[in-house]
Amino acid sequence: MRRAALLVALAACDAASSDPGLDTVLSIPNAQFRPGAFPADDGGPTAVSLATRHPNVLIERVVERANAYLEPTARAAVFGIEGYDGAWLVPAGPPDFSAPGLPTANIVFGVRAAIEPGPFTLVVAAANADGKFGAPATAMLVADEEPEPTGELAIRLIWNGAADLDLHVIDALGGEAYSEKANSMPPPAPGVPVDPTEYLKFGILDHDGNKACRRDGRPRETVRWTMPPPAGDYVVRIDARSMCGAPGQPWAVMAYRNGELIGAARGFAAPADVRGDSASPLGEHGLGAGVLALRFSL
Amino acid sequence: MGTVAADPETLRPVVARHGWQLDLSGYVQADVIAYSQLSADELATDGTLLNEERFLIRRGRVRLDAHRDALSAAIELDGNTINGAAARLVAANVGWHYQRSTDALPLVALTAGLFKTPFGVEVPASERDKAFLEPPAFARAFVPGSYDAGVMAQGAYGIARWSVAVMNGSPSGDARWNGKDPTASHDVVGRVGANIEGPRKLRVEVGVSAIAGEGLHPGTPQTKDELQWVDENQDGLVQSTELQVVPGATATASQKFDRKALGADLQVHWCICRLGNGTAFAELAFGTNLDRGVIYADPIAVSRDYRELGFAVGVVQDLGDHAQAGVRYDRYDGDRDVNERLGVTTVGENKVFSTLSVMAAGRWHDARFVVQYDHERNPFGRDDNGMPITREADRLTLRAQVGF
Repeated sequence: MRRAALLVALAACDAASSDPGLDTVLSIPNAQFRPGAFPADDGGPTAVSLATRHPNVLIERVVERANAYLEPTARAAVFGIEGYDGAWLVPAGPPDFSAPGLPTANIVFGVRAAIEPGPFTLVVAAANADGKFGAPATAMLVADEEPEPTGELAIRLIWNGAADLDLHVIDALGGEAYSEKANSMPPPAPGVPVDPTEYLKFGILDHDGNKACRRDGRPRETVRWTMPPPAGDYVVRIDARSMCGAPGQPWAVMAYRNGELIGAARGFAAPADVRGDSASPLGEHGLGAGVLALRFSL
Repeated sequence: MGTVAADPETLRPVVARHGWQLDLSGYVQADVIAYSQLSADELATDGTLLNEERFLIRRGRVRLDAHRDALSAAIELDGNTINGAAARLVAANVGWHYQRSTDALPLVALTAGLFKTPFGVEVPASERDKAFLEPPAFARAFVPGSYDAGVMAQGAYGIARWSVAVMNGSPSGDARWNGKDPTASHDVVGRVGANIEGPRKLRVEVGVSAIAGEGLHPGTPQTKDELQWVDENQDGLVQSTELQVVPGATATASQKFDRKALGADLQVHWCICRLGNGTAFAELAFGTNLDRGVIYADPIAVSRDYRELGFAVGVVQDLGDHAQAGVRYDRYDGDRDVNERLGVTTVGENKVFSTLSVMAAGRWHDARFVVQYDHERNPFGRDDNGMPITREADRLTLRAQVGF
């Protein structure tokens, strides 16, 4: 006890942490780890903006770049992920040509496997010479093991488990794409000739993940438009077709427009959700089944 | 510094051969780092171990001294487990001395080979006799490893002490050259001092030291054109837009630069009747481009000189025949002119290392048991305002040492 008291008395009380920060989900090489909660706004300089090169951050790869612009009094910037303790502090860099007069904070970062795949919010705050932090800037990103899907419009469902989930996308024309109807093109009226390439103008589901409880390595479903999608409202629903023995299944869904993230949501499927929507005209897991996950307009 | 008062020389077996008297000696320092704020059961990003709380052999030295009249030779080997088991040659030298009487210090002694650099008092002192576990930061910066190869003349006349050496200028702990001399030029090192006996066993040692030489900024070899691929869209496939040619470059020549340092030292030794011997000490050194161990000085790389300043002060007191206590504070600024751009502002910074060491030791004959707590300051962390700040690095070390 005495020894511990002596060590506490002699130990540096205003020192930076020697913790290498390997338990946190965010990884920034050559930065100072800052344990604890992300610092609150206490009147310091504002972080003006935060941008990354890609909307998707590949899990366990430290390759993604983030660039932040800070108010002129900024001397340092701290990066973290919303909802997770632990942040990383870097000194502010000089202004660049695109925003003269504004200090910058440029990092290369990655996320560790401990992060739940799906959308997350990267946050940066600036600090002044007194160490006071200001209002943060944020960027919504997606942690995934694959890069963002290509195409004019892509909606991707990801989860990591045994459950058989289905992605339903209802496009601006009212057509729906899901596992039992892989194209959102409305069925042609009887007797009307069909252009054999017409289906390419609609959303196409690439794959039925964990179909019939046959487990995929990394279950994913993507509905993709390779040609410009029609303007209007889009609805994304997630249907739990079967839990396949899983007690519950977290999922995440993201929408990309030309590689840019335009919307994302997280959810959790429970055994009670398997009942689906009995109002569906094609049965419990047919058209319109599932819970509302995302709604957006083009 | 401060040294342990040596016990009267114990009787040793003397080996004589062809008129040479051989004397074998040595010591082992077995350490345990019981507490370290830097320690973590993890690997750093470069794969190095971060655990520091461990048992280790800090030094296991064997020394063989040979004497025949005025001629001498010595060889000293070291084994340690600091970075895994290692064995190395630390000293090997030959010498000749002239002394007017057998009980006087040599008027002139010449040494050639591998020996301790005669700069100040901390660097030349034997690790076996030092009261504190490791040298202060400025000594580790200016003469890392302490040993270097060269020739040295030293001597004593009355109260005067002097030494001058011409050395490679790449001490054994040099962080860049690892003891290999990169230039044909040599460092000149020396110390002039006095050893003044006072009343009541009071003794004062004072001296000034200097070192001057040349360092080398390494050139770069010629390179060929290279193709660089950056997977911009992260699809794992090579696209022509992701390829970039990095043009080759011609070789650049190495450049030499001047480096030097000036030091001053003072030691006061006393004896308090029943308590025992005590020593107060202070050592100060200014340097220019001399750091070869802590913040490696390469003025060509930064287009300006590095100015360094370090000092150590402390006191060591015997507490009877079998105990000793001491405290030392050392501070080293490895780059007094460093500044950094933080946002739109250029700010001056400190690259300061300091350690407050508190030591207690017990001893019996040639055995010592030392407990030392080091409260360390360094510039390796970052504060919320972007400025360098200490990264927690306090440590508690226990050492068992036995000599023979």
